[in-house]
This record gives sequence, C-alpha cells and structure tokens, in this order.
Amino acid sequence: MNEELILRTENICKSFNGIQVLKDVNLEIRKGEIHALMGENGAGKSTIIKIITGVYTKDDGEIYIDGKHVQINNRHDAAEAGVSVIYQELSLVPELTVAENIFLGHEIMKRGLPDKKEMRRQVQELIDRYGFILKPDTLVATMGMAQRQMTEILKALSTEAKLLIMDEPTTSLSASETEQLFVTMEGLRERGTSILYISHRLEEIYRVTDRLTIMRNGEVVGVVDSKTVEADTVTSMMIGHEIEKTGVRTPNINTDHYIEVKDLQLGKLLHDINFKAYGGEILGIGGLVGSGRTELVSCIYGAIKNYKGSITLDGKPVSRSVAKNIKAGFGMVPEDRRTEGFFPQLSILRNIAISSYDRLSSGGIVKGKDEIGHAEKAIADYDVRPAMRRLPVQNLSGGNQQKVILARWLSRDVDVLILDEPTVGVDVGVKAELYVYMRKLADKGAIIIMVSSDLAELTEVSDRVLVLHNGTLFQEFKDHKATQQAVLLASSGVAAKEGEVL
Amino acid sequence: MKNKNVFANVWAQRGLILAVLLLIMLIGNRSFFSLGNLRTILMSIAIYGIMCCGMLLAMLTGGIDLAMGSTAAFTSVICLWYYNSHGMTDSAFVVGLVLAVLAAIAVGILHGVCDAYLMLPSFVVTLATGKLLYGLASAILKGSFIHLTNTEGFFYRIANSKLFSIPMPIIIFIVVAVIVGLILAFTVFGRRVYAVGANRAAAELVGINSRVFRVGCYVICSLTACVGGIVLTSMNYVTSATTAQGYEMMIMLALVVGGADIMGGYGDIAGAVFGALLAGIVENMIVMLNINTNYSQAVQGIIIVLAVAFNVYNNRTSAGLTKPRKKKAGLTARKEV
Repeated sequence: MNEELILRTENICKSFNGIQVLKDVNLEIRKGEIHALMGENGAGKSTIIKIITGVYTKDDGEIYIDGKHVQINNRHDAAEAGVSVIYQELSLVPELTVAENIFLGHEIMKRGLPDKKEMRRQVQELIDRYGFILKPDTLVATMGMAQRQMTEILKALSTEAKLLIMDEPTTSLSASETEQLFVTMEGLRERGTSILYISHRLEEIYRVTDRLTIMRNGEVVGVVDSKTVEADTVTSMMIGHEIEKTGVRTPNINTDHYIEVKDLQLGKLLHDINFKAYGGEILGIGGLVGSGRTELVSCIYGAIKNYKGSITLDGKPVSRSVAKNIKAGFGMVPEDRRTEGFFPQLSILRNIAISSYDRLSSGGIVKGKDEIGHAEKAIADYDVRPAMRRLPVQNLSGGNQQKVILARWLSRDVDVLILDEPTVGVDVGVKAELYVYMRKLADKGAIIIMVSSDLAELTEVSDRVLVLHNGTLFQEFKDHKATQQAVLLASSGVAAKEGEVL
Repeated sequence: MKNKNVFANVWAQRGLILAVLLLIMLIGNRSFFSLGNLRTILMSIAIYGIMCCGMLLAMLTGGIDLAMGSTAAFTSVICLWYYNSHGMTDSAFVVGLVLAVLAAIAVGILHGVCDAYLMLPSFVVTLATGKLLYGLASAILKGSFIHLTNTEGFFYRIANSKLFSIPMPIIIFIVVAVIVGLILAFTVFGRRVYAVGANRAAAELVGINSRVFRVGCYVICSLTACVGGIVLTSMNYVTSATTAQGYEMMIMLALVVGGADIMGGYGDIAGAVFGALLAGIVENMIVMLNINTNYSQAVQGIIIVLAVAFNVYNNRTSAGLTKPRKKKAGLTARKEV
C-alpha cells in the first residue's frame, strides 16, 4: 500500500459555546485506502468531518491535503482541495436525470444553453471508467437508494475528488445494495481514491475498510488495523469500558395473549401471511428492504388500512384506526425517526407526552403537572440525555432521539409494541440500553414485534425470527435458532436447514 | 438555565425594536403620541391582532390563508347586506352575523379540504379563493358599497363603545388572543396542533388525524377574519368588496416577525400579539412621518424586511434552544447532532 498521506490533520480543536468538542484531533488517511472512523454519537466524528469539508471552521490546528498545507474556510475550499462528502441525506434532485444531477450548478454551456449531449457523453465516460451500473439518462426519482448513492459518488468523482467522505452510507440500503456499494468502494480504492468511511456497523468495518480510527469525547483514542482488531476492543475503546453481553434470554411466553395475522394480503406487496406473535416474546421480522416488512407491521398497527385478511388480538379484531389501537395499548417506533418518529422542533416533554393525553388531560384540558411528571419520569427511567425536558428533540443525538420515541410508548405501559429498525444510527452503548428496555417490556408480558435489517440484532435480541421474502413469509426460526447467515440466505430466498420452511 | 437567558433575550430584542420605532417617532413627529392617534393605532392593532390569532393557528399546522382579507370583506358584506336590507334592526344584525359566520365556516372548510384532502398547495388555493370571494362580494354589492347611516343599535356599538374605558375592539382582540392563547397552551387540541405542524407523518402515527386538525385551523382562521371584518366595518361604518384588502400580507408578516415558522410547528400567541403591535405602529408611522405617498409602500416594505431579518437573525444566533429551524445546517453552528 502507498504510505503517502492524502489527508493529515494536526491538533484540530473546536469549541461550541465554550464546550470543547474536539481536542487535538490528528487524523491520517493514506492514499488509496478505505479508512473507517468510529465513535459513539457525540464523539466528534461529524464535527471533524464538517471541519475538513468547510462547514465549520476550526479553532486551532492545521490541515494538510496531499502533503500541502491548506486553508479550508468554506465548502468551496474543500472541493478545490479535492475533498468530497456524501451525506446520509442525499442531495440529488429527484426530478432530474443522473447526468443533469452530476452537472447541476456547473453545466457545460454551448451558445448560452446547456450542452446536454456533451454532458451525457462525459457522464458515460465516468461511468465506464469506474465500471458503475448506471445510465446517464435515468431519472433519479425512479432509482433505488443504492443507485442514488452511486450517482452521488459519481458526482463527487466528477469534481476530481481525491478524498471521498461517506457518512453512514448504508443506513438506507438493503444487504444486497450494501454489498454493491462495497464493491464500488473497492473499485475506487484500486484506482487510488481514498475513502473516509463512517459507520456504526462493525461488520461493515471488517468487510470493507483497511484501517480504523476510533474517537471518544472529541479525541482520537486509537488507530488500528481494521482487518485484525477484535470487536470487543473496538467497542470498549469507543465507550471507554467493556459492554455487557446481551446474552440469550429465556422468554416467558403466554400463548393466551397473542396477535394473530390470518391470510393477510395487501395489493401486490404482501400475500398469504399467517402467524402469531405472543405475549412475553420478542418476535423479529427480517427480510430485505422492500420485502414488505414495514407494510406488514403498518397493517398490524392500523397505519395501513386497506389490507385483506384478519388481524386479531386475543381473538378480537384489531382496529384499522391508529388512534383506537393506541387506546388499546399499541405503540409503534417507526422506521425513519426523522420523518415519521419525532417532532423535531418540539420539546422532549411534548414528544414523550403526545401519545398519552388520554391520561394526562381531562375534558380536553392538559393536566400540566401530570404532563411534566410523566415526562420527567420517562426521561429519568429511559436515561434521555441531556435530561432537559424543554430541549427540542432535534438537538439530541440520534440515540437519544430514539430513546425519546421509545419512552413515548414505554411510559404508558404499552401492551403491543412494534419497532421498525429501532437502532439505525444508534451507537453501541445506547443500543444495549434499548435492548434492555425491550426485554423488560417483554418480561412484563407485552407483545413485541421488531423489524430489523441488522442481522446481529435480529438474531440476538429476538426470541423467534420470521423472514419475509417477496411479500410472503419465507422461513421461521424458533428458539434462538436463527443465525446471521441463515437469515441472510432466507432473506434472499434460500432456505437454510435449521429453520422450518413455511 | 440557558433557556431562561435566551427567552429573556427574545423579549429584550422585541422591546428594542419597539423602542427604536418609538424613538424615531419622538424625533419625527410627536403628535404620533397624541391620544387621538394612539387610539387610531390601537384600533388597527386590534383588527390585525384578531386576524393574527386565526392565521397563527393555520400557520402552526403548516397552512397559510392568503384569502383572509377577502374573507373579512365577503363575510362583512354578507352581514351588512342583510342588516341594511332588513331595516337595520338588532335582530337583523344577529341574523346577518349568523349568515356571515356560516359563510366563514364554509370558506374555512373549503380551504382545509383543498389543502389537507385534495393536497392542493394552500398558497395557490387561498390566493384563488381570495379572488373568488372578492368577486362574490362585488357581485352582492353590484360594485358599490354600503354606507350605514344610523348610529344606534348593537352593530354600531361593536367598535364605538367602551368597557372599563377601553375601546371595544381592543376588548374583542384581548378576548380572542386570550382564548387562542389558552387553547394553544393548555388544551390537548393545542398540543396536537403543534404536533401536526411539526411533523404530519409522526402525528398520524401517534393517532392524530392531522387532516381534521388542519381543516379545523382553517375554519378558526376564517372565523377570525369574519370577526375582524365586522369590527372593521363597524369602525368605518362602511363596507365594500375592498374592505381589509391586503391585510393578509401584513398579518403574515406580523406573524413571521413574531417568530412563527411558515412551515408550521413553531410560533406562539405572544409573538403574534407582538407582530400585530408592530404592524399597527409601522402602518401609522408611515402616515405620521408624512412620507410622500409615492414612497410609503416602499418604506413600509423596508421596515418590515428589517424587522423580519432582525428577528430571524436573532433566532439563528440563539440557535437550538429557543427557535430551532428545520434543516438549516450550515447557517447555524449547532452542536453535533
């Protein structure tokens, strides 16, 4: 490997309102390597990246790119220096084509009009050079997340980026799309592009990166070879102490308390679905993105109403109204907390209490003291940080936002809890906490249904796993028999031995 | 601890804006402070204020009502037309008022259904219904106006009487503001209004029928337009299709100055009242400073833009704690989220 450095930062410091968030951060990325950056939420990863890309200005320290000392004061400087970033939320315009998006803002002009032909040709050239599976004329709106990400990468490459920064690029990708992305990344590495890769998922770090820098509390706590490092070492470096293993739980299943789904059909998305979820167990639902997992749980919750078939709770039909189901003890942590979960500009208190005004009001008037008491107790019980009930939820870290949404339901003792991708973008420390809360609720006899793409989570936390494939139940894994490999195979339609084919 | 500082700051800033304006008038024209003029200012603040309260609700749920001025004209024309053609008795006024209220409710439902159920952009829809209502009012009056002559009866007293020596329009404004304020601060309805404005999809998933709330808020908005229109008519004692024309812009700007977010989910009654205060004062200032009418509109525009810029800028610098804004990364140096 080339030992030359593409990026070197020297003692970068940054404070916000007197709080130091970065302390002497030294980051070194070699030419042609995929370098991972890990750390809990709030460790300073995003801040250092925003400094490198010119979103924030540093208080102190130096940045060297390709051996040259550079001054990065804004995004333009960063782009000039050859640093390109691909954010979690993609910046493509859906109504435009791949080529139009790539040249957006710096179109090639010919006689005062954009030269579409030339732009298309150049994009095709780029696609050929990097071997992407894309067409210049495809409308972005019609593409999947993986292809959109590729377009974004191509856009970065079109500006001659030497260093590509990818901030949790796989959160919205399915397993196969993720693999596709990794292959792309490896291709880029071979051509000498360096990649700084940020992720919470250890298996990805092992799979695709060369070296790993770990940050904690605004400092770099270690740089390791990511192919050989032990997972436990990484996690304990990230959180500063060892995490307790979750271990296998023996569920106390109550077969008299159940949700039964019979002959469920939803357009072409779901068909022939039959299963029961019992009180006291955590039922995991796996499958690829698009296999109908989210639709299935939305039907149960009443958020999707136009399904055929029956869904019953202890033999009585479940309503198709979310409001009625909530009164009956249902709760849901949706897939995308930002767009469907929390109310960004409202306070922690309002975000927690919003589901419980049936108890916190009388005659339409909110009982103020009860509301505050309810929220304060939830904040303490579920360790929301900072524990300031008036703080807008958008100012919290991802993990704490998720805690708030979970607290919204747990604080009202839900009886049926549906969780859709509960730990996406949540760091390891908080993850373990969320699992403890889920298990406690299950121990109280509640029915818990958890959809997840995180195979480790699905196999370790669930007591039983159902795998969906192309809109139907493909395989069931009982008694903790699900292994990551088997679930992955079943997700793509290959039955493994351990499970029972439905 | 930080919260309180920032809260105090917002009011300090609002106070500063008012102080600057008053200082200008102290130098510019002292008759601004004459009792007669202050009364005029208070009256227009009252009208703007009443309508601001309604628009605040529409804006909180993410809507906008650009037909507010026309709604005020249309409903007051209906009321006055009936009143005028039925002998100008108190009972005729009550019937006219009921008709006006029903018309306002119908307008609100129309706006709400177009926005929440038919998913039409509220900007365009209310702009169009504004034209429609203006046209209907013109048609009812056949292009003319109603000038009332009797100075007795319930209708006259709406704007021309006092309670505890406070002019009635101010009392009506205070009552409307207190009611809306109480609804927003202490009722489940209020909590849900904010939730719907902050994130519709999330509101649905906690069992709130967001569409019903949006329609409801449009209805309340049209009702305040109706109240504002009738108070204004009682004050001027004349109504035509152009009554309250252009008020919606002043109201919208007043709310933005008062810190409401046009995208919904953020704003409060105190800000709305402050905005109405500012709108009334600025409007009067222009007249009192004897600014050439050719420039008065431009000056008004500049003052409003400055006030809005000041407000928005301050909200950004005090980022995060008081007025978080949606996806404005890069403008605010927020802590890592």
